[in-house]
Amino acid sequence: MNRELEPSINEKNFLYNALRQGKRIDGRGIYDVRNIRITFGNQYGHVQVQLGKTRVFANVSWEIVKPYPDQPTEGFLRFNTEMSPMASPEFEAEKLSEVEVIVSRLLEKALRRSRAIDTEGLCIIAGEKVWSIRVDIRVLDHEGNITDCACIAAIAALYHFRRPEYTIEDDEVTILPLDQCNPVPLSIHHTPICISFAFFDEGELMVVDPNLLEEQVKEGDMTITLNSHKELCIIHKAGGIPLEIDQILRCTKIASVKVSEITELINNALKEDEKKRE
Amino acid sequence: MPGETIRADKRTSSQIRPISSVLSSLNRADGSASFSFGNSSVLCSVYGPQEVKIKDELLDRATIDVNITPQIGIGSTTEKNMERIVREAFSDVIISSLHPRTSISITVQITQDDGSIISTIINAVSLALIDAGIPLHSTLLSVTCAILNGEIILDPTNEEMKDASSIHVFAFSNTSNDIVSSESTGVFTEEEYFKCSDICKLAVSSVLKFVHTAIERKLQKEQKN
Repeated sequence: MNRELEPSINEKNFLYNALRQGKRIDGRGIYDVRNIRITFGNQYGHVQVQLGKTRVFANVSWEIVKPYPDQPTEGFLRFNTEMSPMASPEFEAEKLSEVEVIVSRLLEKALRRSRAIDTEGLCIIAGEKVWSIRVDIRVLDHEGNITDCACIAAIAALYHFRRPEYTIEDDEVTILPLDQCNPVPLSIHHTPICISFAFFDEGELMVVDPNLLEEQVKEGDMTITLNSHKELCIIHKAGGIPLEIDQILRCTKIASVKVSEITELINNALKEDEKKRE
Repeated sequence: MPGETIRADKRTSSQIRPISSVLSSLNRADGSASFSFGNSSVLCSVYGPQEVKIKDELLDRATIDVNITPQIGIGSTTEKNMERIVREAFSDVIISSLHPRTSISITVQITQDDGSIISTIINAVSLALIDAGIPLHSTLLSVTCAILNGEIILDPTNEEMKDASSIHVFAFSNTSNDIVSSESTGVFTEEEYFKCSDICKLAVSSVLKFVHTAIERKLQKEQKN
């Protein structure tokens, strides 16, 4: 475990001077999101997403459990976000870091509390058996903006995932094997995508999708989660430089454009994967 | 060989699954490698030699720290056992006396488990250590075999491992004829054990050829850049 090395004064100044001229240190425009690459695994619900050099892996799995007695028709959707020690020397194996807590809470809010997945549709026998869907998200490489990358990975994995078909006979649930009956996708209402912003120079300068150095040097940040229907799911601005209302509205508009682009990317990747499997 | 049984995935009993690996795929890590035997694949990263916590500090050598995460959920005792196997196997291969009072952190993420996962992990760790430039005595490579219905089969899948009467994981170094690490579970005779070790030794030489090609390719790519 290493304490993360703070960027040098030279690096900080270089970044600021470049930003004041409208340039970013990796050559992107201020509103540009890095290249997104979505790779699906052999198994359903298994995906690796790269946002620039940041890499996150998500895996969806299922289990049949007894529901809570006060919510007999609700299934479970559980998220487990972990920063693997391979992502950065600052992450330790069993220690919960601040970044980990923030990212996992944001993902829970974006995907569970926004009711993106229909948990009522996960019921098998009311009061007895429900599906418990578990999403494991592992950050493999930290090059800035883990939140957005993890969100894309989680939602792509949930879209990609198929649960097995089942039959019910006198309260006995039989799971049909995959070679007998095609597995079924989850019922997903909408696609929430997170877009993160970083602010510098007392809120004067703003970038979309900060990379590692920009994240280390930033004065404030904000994450806006929208879906492709231009519905706002979350605005997360915890501390940092105070922002004017106009700025927040402007960021929301920028985010909405990015979200439609990313949603299309995810849909194309899913279609391509389906073609490959035929 | 005539009379050899054909397995469920059309292999003979002495065939290993197709191997593939990618080096240096991670950006932050000092070294990284993914390795797969067919559908069993893992991703491994190595950081080191780097700062060590005072309580783990060893005065005369580097502290080797292994962490294995399964595909689903958090690690449990199965993973802790695999960490022990990997740590003990590599503690002799890594020339840790060259870097006292530092730590070499090995992190493994199992991306898909379809049998022979310990061998997959050992091979991925070897490649990641080479990628990170950690000084090693030799290259440690491993292959698993299982005894199923009295027959010795190489590189078993999960299905085959379930019904096997015994499972043997062997790791060999390429510089000596000795077994560096051996983990066996199940019921077996002494004769069966030594037969398994010979069969695995032969299989490891083909894995070694592959590893050589992979590293040569990586060096060529680096030279071009």
